[in-house]
Amino acid sequence: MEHKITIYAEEVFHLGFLSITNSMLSAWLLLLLVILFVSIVKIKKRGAPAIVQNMLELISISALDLADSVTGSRKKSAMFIPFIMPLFFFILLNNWFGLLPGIGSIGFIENHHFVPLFRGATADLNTTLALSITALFITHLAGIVIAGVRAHTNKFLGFNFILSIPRELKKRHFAVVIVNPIKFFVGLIEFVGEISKTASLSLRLFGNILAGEILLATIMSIFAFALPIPFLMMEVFVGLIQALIFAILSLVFLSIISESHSDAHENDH
Amino acid sequence: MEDIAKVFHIEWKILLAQSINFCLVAYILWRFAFRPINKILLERTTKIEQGLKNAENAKKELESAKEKAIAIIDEANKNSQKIMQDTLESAEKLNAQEIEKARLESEKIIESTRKTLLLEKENMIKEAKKEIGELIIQTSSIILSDISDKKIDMTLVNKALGKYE
Repeated sequence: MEHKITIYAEEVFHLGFLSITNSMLSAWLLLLLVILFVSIVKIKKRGAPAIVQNMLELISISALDLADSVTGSRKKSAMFIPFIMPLFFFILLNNWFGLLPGIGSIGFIENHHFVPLFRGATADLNTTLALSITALFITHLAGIVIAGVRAHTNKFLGFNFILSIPRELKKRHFAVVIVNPIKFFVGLIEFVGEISKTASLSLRLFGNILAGEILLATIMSIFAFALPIPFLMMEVFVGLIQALIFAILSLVFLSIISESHSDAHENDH
Repeated sequence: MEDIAKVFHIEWKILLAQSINFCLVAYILWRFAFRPINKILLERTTKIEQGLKNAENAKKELESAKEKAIAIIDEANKNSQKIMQDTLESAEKLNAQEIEKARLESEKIIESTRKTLLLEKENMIKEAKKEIGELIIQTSSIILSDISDKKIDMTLVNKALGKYE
């Protein structure tokens, strides 16, 4: 029997056309835990809040303050935080879920190969890519909501810069011959930048979490008792930091897109 | 690109499933945990801000009331001083008037008394003259009853009366 950590999530079973991987099972389990958590926790509107509510309040206040330091305005923070906070918690909980005992070690044998039943969802590129694509989608959705479809698409696919050259030349604005093609290419570079943002976000998180799991597995294979504890602690910290990085970068992208559109609006006026 | 997808077992169906999974977790977390918390925090912040604002307003109103009270007291003091001043002035005026009146009255009384006295004096003098004249006549007639005639009597009487005037 072979037991090795793969860089991809193994298929556990099929559900119609969809192959259910162990990372997907982890994500579903986490979804159930979240549902259980929100149904257990009672949020009091009046009176002294319970410990969990107190912690949630503290987290919310800290998150808003942190978001303010990135966006520079409470209005923007309040607009983006409904996406950023759950994103942070989804990644954090998935990162930590992968460190729990039994995750990656309980499974079944298939074709002389051990298949774990659960795998940290963020140790699967499918999950991290899905998260970064969702973040990108939300970012561009915010851009469209703030600036409108035309203005937002023009930022990346600036065909209007090329198309407006003859009109500007009639007005004897000869500089457009040089400036507008540059603007068009800058837009294309921005477009490529958006794709690279997605790749960098997803690969960073995936790489760090997978590396942590491999590191822990290697340390455990050397000596399973006490030795992995410092590494486990480090992975708890890494999980937190990676979740924070992902969430903060997503917030930065949202903030940048809202600011660039605001600037464009001001320039237009 | 396909090779990368193959190596990492990237499938669009799994991507979609994981995206939906994230959206579900995000919705549940936001709807049932963070949104109510944020709402409570917002309400609390609003309440605190309102409370602070009210306290600030109350402080301002208190200061304003104090200033008003001080102004009213000052005004009342000024008024009372003015009233006292007016009262004093009018009292003095009245006093002076009364004194003047009394003085005039007394002068009037004195004058009338003096006139009465003068009249009485004149009357008395007249009566005294008359009586003295009669007495002189009587005395003279007694003394000079036989040696003088009426003409001499009268001359003597007038002479005697001339001494008294």
